[in-house]
Amino acid sequence: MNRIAMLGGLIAGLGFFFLPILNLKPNRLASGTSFNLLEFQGDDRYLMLFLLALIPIVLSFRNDAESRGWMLVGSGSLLFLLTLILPAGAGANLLLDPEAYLGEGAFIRNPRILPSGGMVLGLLGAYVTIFAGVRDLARAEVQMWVQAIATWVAPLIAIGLLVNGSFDVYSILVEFYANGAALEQKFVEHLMFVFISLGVGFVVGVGLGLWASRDERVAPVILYAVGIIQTIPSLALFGVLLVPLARLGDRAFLPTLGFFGVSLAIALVIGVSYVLLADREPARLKIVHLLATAITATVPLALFVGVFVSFLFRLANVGFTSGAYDSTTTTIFGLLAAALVTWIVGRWFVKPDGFLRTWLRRANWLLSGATTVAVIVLFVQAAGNSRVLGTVDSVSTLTIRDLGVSGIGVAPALIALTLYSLLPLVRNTYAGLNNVDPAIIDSGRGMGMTPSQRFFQIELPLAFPVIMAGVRNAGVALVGIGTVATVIGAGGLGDFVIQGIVNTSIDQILLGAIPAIALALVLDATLRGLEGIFTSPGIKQVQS
Amino acid sequence: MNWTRVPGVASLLWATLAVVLFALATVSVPVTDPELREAVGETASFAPDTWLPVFSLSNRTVIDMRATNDVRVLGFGLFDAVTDAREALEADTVTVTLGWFAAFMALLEAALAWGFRQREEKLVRPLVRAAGIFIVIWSFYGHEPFWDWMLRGLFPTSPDLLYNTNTLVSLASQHLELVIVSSILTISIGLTLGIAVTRSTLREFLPLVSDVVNSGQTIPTLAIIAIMAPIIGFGFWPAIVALILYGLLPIVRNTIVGLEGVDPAMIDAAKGMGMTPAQILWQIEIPNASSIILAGVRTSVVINVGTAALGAYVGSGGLGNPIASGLNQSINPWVLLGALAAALLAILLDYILGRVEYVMTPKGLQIEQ
Amino acid sequence: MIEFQNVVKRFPDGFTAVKGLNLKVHEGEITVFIGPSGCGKTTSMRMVNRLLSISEGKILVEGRDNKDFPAEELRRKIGYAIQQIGLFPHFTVLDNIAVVPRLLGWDETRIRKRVDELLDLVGLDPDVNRDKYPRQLSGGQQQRVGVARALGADPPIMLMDEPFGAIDPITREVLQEEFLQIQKEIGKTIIFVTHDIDEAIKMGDRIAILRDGLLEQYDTPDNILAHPKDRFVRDFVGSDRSLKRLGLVRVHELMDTEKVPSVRIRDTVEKAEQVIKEHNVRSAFVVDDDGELRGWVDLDGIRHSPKSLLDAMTEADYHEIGVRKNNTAREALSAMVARSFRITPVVDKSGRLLGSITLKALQDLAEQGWGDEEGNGS
Repeated sequence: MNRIAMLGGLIAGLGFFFLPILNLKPNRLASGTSFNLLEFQGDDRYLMLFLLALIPIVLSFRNDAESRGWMLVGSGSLLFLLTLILPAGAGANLLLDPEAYLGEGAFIRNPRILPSGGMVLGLLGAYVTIFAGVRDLARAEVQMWVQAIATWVAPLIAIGLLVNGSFDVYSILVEFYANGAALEQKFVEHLMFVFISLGVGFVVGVGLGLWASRDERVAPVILYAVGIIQTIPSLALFGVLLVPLARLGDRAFLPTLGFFGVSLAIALVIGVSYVLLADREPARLKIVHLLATAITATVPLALFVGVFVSFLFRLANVGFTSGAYDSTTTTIFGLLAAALVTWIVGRWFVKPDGFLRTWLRRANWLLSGATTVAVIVLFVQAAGNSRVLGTVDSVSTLTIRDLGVSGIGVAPALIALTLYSLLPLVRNTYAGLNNVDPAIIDSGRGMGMTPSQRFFQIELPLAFPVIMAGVRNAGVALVGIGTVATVIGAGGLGDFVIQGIVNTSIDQILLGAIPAIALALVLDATLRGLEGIFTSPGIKQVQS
Repeated sequence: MNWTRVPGVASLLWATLAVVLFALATVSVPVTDPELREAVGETASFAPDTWLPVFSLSNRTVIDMRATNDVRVLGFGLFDAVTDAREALEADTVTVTLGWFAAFMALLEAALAWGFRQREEKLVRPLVRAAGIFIVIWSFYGHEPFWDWMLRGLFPTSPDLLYNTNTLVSLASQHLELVIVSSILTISIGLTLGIAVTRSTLREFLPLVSDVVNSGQTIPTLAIIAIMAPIIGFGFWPAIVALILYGLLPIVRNTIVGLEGVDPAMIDAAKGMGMTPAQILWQIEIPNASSIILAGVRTSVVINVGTAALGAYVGSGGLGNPIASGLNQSINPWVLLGALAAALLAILLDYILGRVEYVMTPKGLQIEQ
Repeated sequence: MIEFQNVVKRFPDGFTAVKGLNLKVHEGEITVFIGPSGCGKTTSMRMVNRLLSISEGKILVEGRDNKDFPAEELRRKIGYAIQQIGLFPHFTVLDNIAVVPRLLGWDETRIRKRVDELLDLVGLDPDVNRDKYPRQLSGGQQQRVGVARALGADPPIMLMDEPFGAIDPITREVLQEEFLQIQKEIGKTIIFVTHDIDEAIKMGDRIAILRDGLLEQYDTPDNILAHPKDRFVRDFVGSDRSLKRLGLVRVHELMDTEKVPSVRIRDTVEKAEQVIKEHNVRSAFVVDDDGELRGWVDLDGIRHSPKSLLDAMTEADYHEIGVRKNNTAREALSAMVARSFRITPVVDKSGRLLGSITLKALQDLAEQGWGDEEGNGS
């Protein structure tokens, strides 16, 4: 008896029975007519889906777990694929003669087929069935492999069919073909939001986490501050940043640079006075002093980094999305891929002391260097492009806005996303470092390791999985919050979502949402993979 | 923050606030927003008068606080006690300024500190304090001249200052309504689900549920709200459905983690003493998991405040409205008005739920071993 | 009181933990289940209050099949204490002990009285500890509360699963002694699971040695030590089982009060020589007028100073050379070995000589089936 499989079959079966599987829309905006599976009369092959949904229910009564598991995985995968494929055929039939179904008077222009609830539940049921089947298999490594195959093969076949054009009748693909170029650009923008803010957030967050774990007195202050940021709604944070950034954007570049310099100098003076006075100050005053140093240094530094990053973003965005630089971008991705391959091969597939390994390592250095050069070339090329700085012709008339910082646009989005990434990063860094067994550190000290040796050889490797989990959480969250950035004109995949709301077009919404979900899943899987690669096998079991 | 527990410090803070509010009440500021000027006159008192929070569960009964700036409304939108500002004006209502309220809180704090000085009484004071702070902040929310003055300071040249279709209080009420309704549903569904899959009869569904719950987190909030709109229609319910779907995750996850984390020896002992499964659940498992479950509830509610702000794009109202309209029409004061109010509301709810969490965690569990 | 009849326990994964157990637990006794890990001792115990279901056979509790009772009702009648204690951290000590009485619906005044009584019984001051939370107590105090909780509703039967297992050795010793004292007062029927043979010998009125789900030997500690049934039991109880047997016997059971080789401090040297020869020992104990042990005198001493007994005797502190009557025979042996005596004096608290115990008596005890009079319990 496998009740999970039964649940899967029931979800799919009831979905097919009660919910429409397709929706025929007469045009892009009007609402259409829904079709249940039973309504495709005279074409019995669609009833196959019902039978497929029944199979897991019947199978769930089998008692031999191992064979049941294999059968469930098989039937679940089949259900998954056929739920995708069969309605497409039915949809194609509907599109042959839409008037017959929509009735007289419908304004038919580019009629389209929208997958409906029945299909969603069918896919969900298939997922649950596969899940149930995998858990029936007795051996853990078999489970792992089957799961990997099931999660990759079925989607890959689906992607193959997609490329092949089998799903072209579905409206989301119609939308995709109409907006393909825009989607690519938005996707790159979104990707860059996430990576830049995750990168900056990583440096700042891990730094703050380190500080918190080293100094018990500032730890609550830091954790509380990043916690507060997290409670602020994303829309509100964008809004709050709008005003100061708009003011900043109005300023001329040179005086602002001078202001940053002066602020940093003041911060330096306070910081030096802290170092000099630290021994004489009472504890409470000390922390106030320390925080004053931090704040006076942080504000100009953060703004400076914000301006710099925004400018780089602008350059990169131009670089990656305008056709003129295709050769450079292709070079960059090629070099990156090659560097990755040499690195992976060198690290895991070649003997540690081998001759090949030395060469692979050198090749890796070379490729990384070449990538860096290519990136710089890209930026220089982009900087020369008139789209970046607009009409500004001399430094004296340059304002901060020309560099990419203004109340609306990319700068507030990047700053807000960076702030949002802080909490998981700080918290996990702090927790990871704090949870390292003091006895281990103590034995390191006992063996005569210096503080930096202890940190890099003991604490960091042990805290690594926890820190990586923080990076993962932050990354996945940023992909989601990044979609909101569209409201302040920062672009990204959220553009389609908002457009879709305005047009009440679920296709457009999905055109933004599906790549975002896919991006989140791929990012999660990639970071998990990196985590697995870098974590010492000795502590993996403890983590799981 | 140990110093807040010292008896007397809290009452001193309240007393200071009272003095400040009394002082503010004597200050008048010019009103610049044309509509507000029409409603309240050339100048207005700087300190808000107190009035009980107008929790409206529908837009219809929200009182236009702008017109009632000078009136102390004692009413609950829920019961349609006062439906019209004029009516409230004519009604013989009690006037208590916020300064007196703060003074009262100072006395109350002092009395409580005195009354409970012998023992650690955690049931009354945190909640009283949270309620007091809520009322003070909510009063400032409703005090339109205050916002008018602040926004004028920040945007001296802007032709528009205050959001023109709704008062801040009615927006905040809509927002709270979204959050409260969805949270009640989310908590009941999430707890039921979390408890159900940790029972022995349904345990086999636990990996499935936690898997689905975890992968659900990858769907962007905006996308959930957006997808619901074409399916359900615009307005209150698509936002509620989206809020439930997204808010469910932390509650289910924390309920599972909390209940699974209860020491098995404790459950074994309970069973061995003859407790029924229901008694074990309610008397042993839930109290021991309560702090983790409540942390999940808190996260969920705070997430809901953020998601509800996005509801403005599907017409569910709330504090997202001035932000969205302001961004659309490039009216920065509106954006700032909505953003500050929404941020404040989220922080306030987080604080209140933190207090609730503290009060509801059994005392024996707060002791470090 | 409790009777296992052909009890079999098979787990869903096919593992058979108990393979037909037949055993009768006698009323008012501590019956220890012991064996190597995986022998089914805890499984057997947990089937008594039906924390585990019984696959085959049945367990009679107070003459009735335990399946006749609703599970919860059965458990409320049986006290339960475990190694991890499992105190509820969100309940006060009072609430913890009151769990079963409350389940049974006692009224609050009766519960409070009972809790105070139990706290007194386990040696915790009720006024100090009643309203504390478990996390404010030390490990030993927590285990005391655990025992008190198991005794909450005065159940006639108690199940204890290594209740003193997680406590440091010194506290464990104290708790064991205290619990034996408590058991003397309350006389419960107890199943006590442990893997520590010393604890089993100390605590048990009877010991059931289990191996691979089968009962290997079931007898009194003394009989098990004296007549281990087979090689497994012999190995299990250890090669020092003779010494362990001595640990079961108290000095007062062996001491000789009649033929004590003692002289008064004012007696003559001749008298001393005569006593030594008469008793055929190497030395005689010297006591003063109050009967307090002052030292000993031997033939060597007499040869050196034949005039005065005071000169001839070796003065010694009674704490050092005497054993007390509540010490175990094993401790008496240890004292003799340490000072190479063949006879050691038994004294009371104030040092008065009560009698003596000879190495010979201890040897005899270890050699013969001294415990035979107890009969075979199995």
